Amino acid sequence: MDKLADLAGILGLYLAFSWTDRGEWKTPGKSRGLWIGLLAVNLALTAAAWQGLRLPWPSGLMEKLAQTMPLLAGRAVS
Amino acid sequence: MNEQLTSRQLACLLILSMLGGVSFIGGANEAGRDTWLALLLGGLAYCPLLLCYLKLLEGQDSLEGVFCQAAGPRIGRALCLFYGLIALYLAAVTLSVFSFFVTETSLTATPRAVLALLMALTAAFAARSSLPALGRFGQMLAPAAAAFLLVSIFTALPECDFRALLPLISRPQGLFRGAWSSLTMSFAESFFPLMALGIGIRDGRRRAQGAFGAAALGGATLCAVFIKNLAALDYHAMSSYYFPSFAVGSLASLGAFFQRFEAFVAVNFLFCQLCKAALCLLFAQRALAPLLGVEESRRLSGLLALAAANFGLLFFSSEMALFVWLGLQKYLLTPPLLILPPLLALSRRLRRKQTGA
Repeated sequence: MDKLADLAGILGLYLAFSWTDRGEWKTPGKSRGLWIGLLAVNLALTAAAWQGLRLPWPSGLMEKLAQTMPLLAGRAVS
Repeated sequence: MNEQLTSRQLACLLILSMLGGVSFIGGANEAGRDTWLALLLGGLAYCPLLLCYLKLLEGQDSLEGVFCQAAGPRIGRALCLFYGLIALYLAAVTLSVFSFFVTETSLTATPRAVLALLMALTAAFAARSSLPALGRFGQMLAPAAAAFLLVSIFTALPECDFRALLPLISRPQGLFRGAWSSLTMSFAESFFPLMALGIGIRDGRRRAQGAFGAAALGGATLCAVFIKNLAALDYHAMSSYYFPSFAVGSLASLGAFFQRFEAFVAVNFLFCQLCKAALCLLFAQRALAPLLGVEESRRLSGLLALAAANFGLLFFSSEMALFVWLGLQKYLLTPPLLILPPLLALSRRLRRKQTGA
């Protein structure tokens, strides 16, 4: 139930954004294609983040640095 | 082109964006107890850098023009893309700090995605506004933020023990590294707001007045916030909090009328972060719009704000990961903010000499 509420919140925000930005997707031509494409990419990224996906950078980079060069990593964050 | 901003409005927006940085959280950097001294040294080192930033803006009314004038059309456009992406990254980190802050302090069960998207869309509305509207927003908000800040300092005074500031300069090497961190992350990050807003002021003297005024006032404020936190919490207690300014706010008591004073501290921080994220997005949209062939840059504000929120969510898995990375961020920001701008200012000077302009 909680997950459904979260999903509804996220989709609601995207719908609100699409509504306030409707001037852009109503404009014909290249601009509309760019807008729809970027919105789809953003929606996919939000879904990935919501599902717990994390990019290997920058957090993962730090972990890797700590494993391979502990002295340098320690100096960097001390 | 008419003047779109006054020097006071520029100063207000720059101060707000400086206070939206991680330094306003009030934690110590590598300088430890001497972080306030590191902030002062960072502020002094920022002055010549600010002159370079201002030099780049002279006679320009677009970001693309700023970089193309300094580095030629091809490299200029590449730099425009590079700085646009860095601005987007900074907006993402700001939104990430915001969502972790709200999760930590109040809305623990709300998913970070919802918090980040809410803030991003608010920032998008600000970034979509015209410069005069943004100027009025800054001029209205800055005195309120300053008043909250002053009250928070005064209310924390009974808890303060200023002996916590001693000994001074216990680690000179740490002071140098702290000054570098302060220069990069408290002052030089203003490059993006300054460039995005500076093209709205034609008079170079007024632009310089606003920028230097903001650096002086913003630096003094950050210094005062750190001294207050250190004196109220002591160094070891302060180092154990992710958000020391908020912790000091929770110590203050103004009686039954003003309960939970930390809410005011939080609101102040969130407004400043909103301002910083919006101004970084403003820079990103103005830098990227000509490269993407978008005529009106404000068409990108919503989509870039969503992208910043998403990257902010995808970058860090926990507060610890975020704060560890913030300790390293100066290495990432040094080339674009400390090294390249003076080189660009020099290149612009040489190119102008060559063309005889």
